[in-house]
Amino acid sequence: MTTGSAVNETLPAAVLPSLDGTMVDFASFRGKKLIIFMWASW
Amino acid sequence: MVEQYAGSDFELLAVAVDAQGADKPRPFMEQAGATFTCVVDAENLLSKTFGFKAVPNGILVDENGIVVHQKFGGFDIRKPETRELVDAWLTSGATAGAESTGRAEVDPRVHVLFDEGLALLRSGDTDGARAKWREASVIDPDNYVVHKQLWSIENPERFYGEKVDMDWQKQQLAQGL
Repeated sequence: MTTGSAVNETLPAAVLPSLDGTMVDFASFRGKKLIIFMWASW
Repeated sequence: MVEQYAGSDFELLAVAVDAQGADKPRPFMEQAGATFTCVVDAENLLSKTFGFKAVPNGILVDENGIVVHQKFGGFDIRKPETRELVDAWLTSGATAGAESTGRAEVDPRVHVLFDEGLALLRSGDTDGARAKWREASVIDPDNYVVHKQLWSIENPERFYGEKVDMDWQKQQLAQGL
């Protein structure tokens, strides 16, 4: 298994908590186009 | 951003990369009136699973969960080239040009030191955390995810005040700090 994210491959699995604490599975957006924007307040 | 694309059939997932947890990004999201999902990556998990050393990052994922474009570092929707790319993809599904930029293998030692520093930070040992993260940034000076977390605990006033002081960050870089 390769590490990292690659074009033309399945999005790596990830589950992270939302601001209100609900767990969000990145795979739960299937069926729609998804834009993931990673940022930091710094 | 979302308002501009109202009616388009897509989801936006914002990930705040901040070791200090949800309280840091929350005010920014509230101020922006965010209507999309925002998750918090306090453990630097995505740097490990996706492979990057900087933010902001953008990843476009199709309906089948396949990555069609990714840019690590400098993904800014205000830039015309980014807007054009996103617009074209949302309208026609097309992407053009560099499909993947900025992906970086991170030295495993850096992740270990980051995690150790994070554990210390959470136990209240800010100095210990600082030392671990300083060590990590010596191994990997280009890693801005580590570098900026380090700065943000050393100089919180530069990050969590009225605005993020980018001029100050440039000065720090110039001085090799």
